[in-house]
Amino acid sequence: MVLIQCQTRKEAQPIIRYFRLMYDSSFKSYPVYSKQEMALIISGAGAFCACSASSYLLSRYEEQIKNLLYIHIGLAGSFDTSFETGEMVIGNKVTSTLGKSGYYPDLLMKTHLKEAHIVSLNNFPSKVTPDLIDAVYDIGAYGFSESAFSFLGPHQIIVAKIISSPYKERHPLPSFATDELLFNKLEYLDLLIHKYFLDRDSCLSLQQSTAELLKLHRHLVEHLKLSETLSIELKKHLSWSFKAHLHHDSVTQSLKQVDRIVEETLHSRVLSKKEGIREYKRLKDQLLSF
Amino acid sequence: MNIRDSRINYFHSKYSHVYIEKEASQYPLTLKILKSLPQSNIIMIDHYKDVFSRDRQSYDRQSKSQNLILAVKKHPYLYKGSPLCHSFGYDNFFYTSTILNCPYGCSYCFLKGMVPSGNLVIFVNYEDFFSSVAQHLNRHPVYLSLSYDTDLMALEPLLGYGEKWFWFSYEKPNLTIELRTKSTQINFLKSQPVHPRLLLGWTLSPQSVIDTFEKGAPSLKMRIEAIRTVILMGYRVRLCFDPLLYFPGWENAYKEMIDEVFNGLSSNEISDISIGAFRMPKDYLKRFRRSSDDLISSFPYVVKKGIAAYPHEIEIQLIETIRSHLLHYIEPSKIFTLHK
Ligand code: SF4
Repeated sequence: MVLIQCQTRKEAQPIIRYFRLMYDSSFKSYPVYSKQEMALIISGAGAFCACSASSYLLSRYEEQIKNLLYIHIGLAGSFDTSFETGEMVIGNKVTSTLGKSGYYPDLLMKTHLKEAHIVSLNNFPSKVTPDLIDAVYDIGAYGFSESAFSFLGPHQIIVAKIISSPYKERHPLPSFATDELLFNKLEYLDLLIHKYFLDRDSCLSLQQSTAELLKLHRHLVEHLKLSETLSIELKKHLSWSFKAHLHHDSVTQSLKQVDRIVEETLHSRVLSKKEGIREYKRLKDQLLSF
Repeated sequence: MNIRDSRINYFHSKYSHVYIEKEASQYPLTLKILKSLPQSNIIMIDHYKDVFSRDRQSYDRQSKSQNLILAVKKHPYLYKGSPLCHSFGYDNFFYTSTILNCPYGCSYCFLKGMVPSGNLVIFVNYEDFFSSVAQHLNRHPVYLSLSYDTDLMALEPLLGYGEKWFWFSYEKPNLTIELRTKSTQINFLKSQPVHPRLLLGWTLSPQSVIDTFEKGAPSLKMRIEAIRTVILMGYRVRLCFDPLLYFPGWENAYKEMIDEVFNGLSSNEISDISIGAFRMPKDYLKRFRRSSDDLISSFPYVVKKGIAAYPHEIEIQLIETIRSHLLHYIEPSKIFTLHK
């Protein structure tokens, strides 16, 4: 699941268009646009709004927290002349002028995007201060990070900024221009999202086999009349035995091997808990041997 | 380019990012490391824990694109060795951690359960470690393990720590240092005299274990080659068959490995051998299991006195099988076993 957060409707518009998101009326406190596996929230401007919007969205997806990727995206300025107008950068460090400690998203995936230190301010800066010389400045990234980092791991967070008012151009760009800027850069983001989830996709066949194993486990627990503790122990043994066979065989072969071991137990005569425990011990030894 | 092509590696290469504590930025070693990594992104930080100790990090993902954190270590610099490790009869067995974490990614490594991050912390103030050891030496002899929770020699081309410790200890008769490795980075020993109190140890595993569980580490053949080279230089070598792992075909795999190792090595070239089956403090197990889900992490270990290990019968079977096979090549007094 990918969550995206923007501060303003102006920033959100091209993203909604790019990813074909639909207004989601099930969210009451903030405007949210979504489709399967993706949701975008418009937080409103300012650190406080950024922080509370991300908490709000994350609480809705609490059950999927380990499989989330959360992206904060929006326009930003910079006094660093090495950044071009329209360039997308990703933050490797997010700080605020309030001097609190920083946040460091993990940048593990290859990308051609430049990286930057992002400094969140309260207002548009009137002069260059030492902490802004090489940085990119915005309003909401720090507030967003404060909340996102308290729920997610650093590999699940991306802060992406598009330079819209570099030093040379004193005035922010008109909105039609920023719309184009954002839209044109979204394929980079799309690519990063795909790369992030590649790891997970490669585990799909294993996930299916987990479902099969859970079925076997359920049958065994019922048949052997196992207590809660033994049921947990059995699950561990089954899962390890599956992996041990996987060491040599394919996923399907390995499942068959475990199935074969289990089959005999399922046909054993178990009339009492005591008999169940005896059969369970025999099965456990079998699962641990090769 | 097909984004779904699983053969393509989408992760940044090793050390693509270097985090530097402000205090560490001007140390000579920092400058040396940065010079050898000109392509890396540099990120300044206040304290190494700001990055290393973040919550909910993914050890597994980070190991695929391991980054460096350069920092200044504060007191203490030396620690007492754990009873879970062999001390080979030495009193005053200490270890030191000039590096946190390891450049290799062994699936069974206890570090996965111990440290919160897959990144590598390098303490660049090695002179402070030397001063601390010197203070201990004023009071008693020291046996110092340098690669207790890392593989220091694997990083020799980048850091040169092996060579620095070599010369620091060379003329200190009451300091014995131990370098245990899986690497083949022995060049720094080639141009030096033989160090009489440097114990070199290699951890060896069957090639099938290396392929599956020792990501990034050199092959068995290359390790044996490195052992032969240092023996020719005049060193006696410690061999470590630890941790022994339980997997289908383990018996043959370990026996064949032992035959291969001793093909051409004689027992008097080996100082001693340590054997131990996989074990881990119970407290590390939860984090260890979170970091990966494989044949090792998912084993239903038995927990006794705070240590998670194989059930007694499996542990004995592993240790005794390997021990009795080793006895074909080496006298029993040289074999140290660690039972839980
Ligand atoms: S070489 Fe040793 S310290 Fe390094 S990952 Fe492997 S087991 Fe851990």
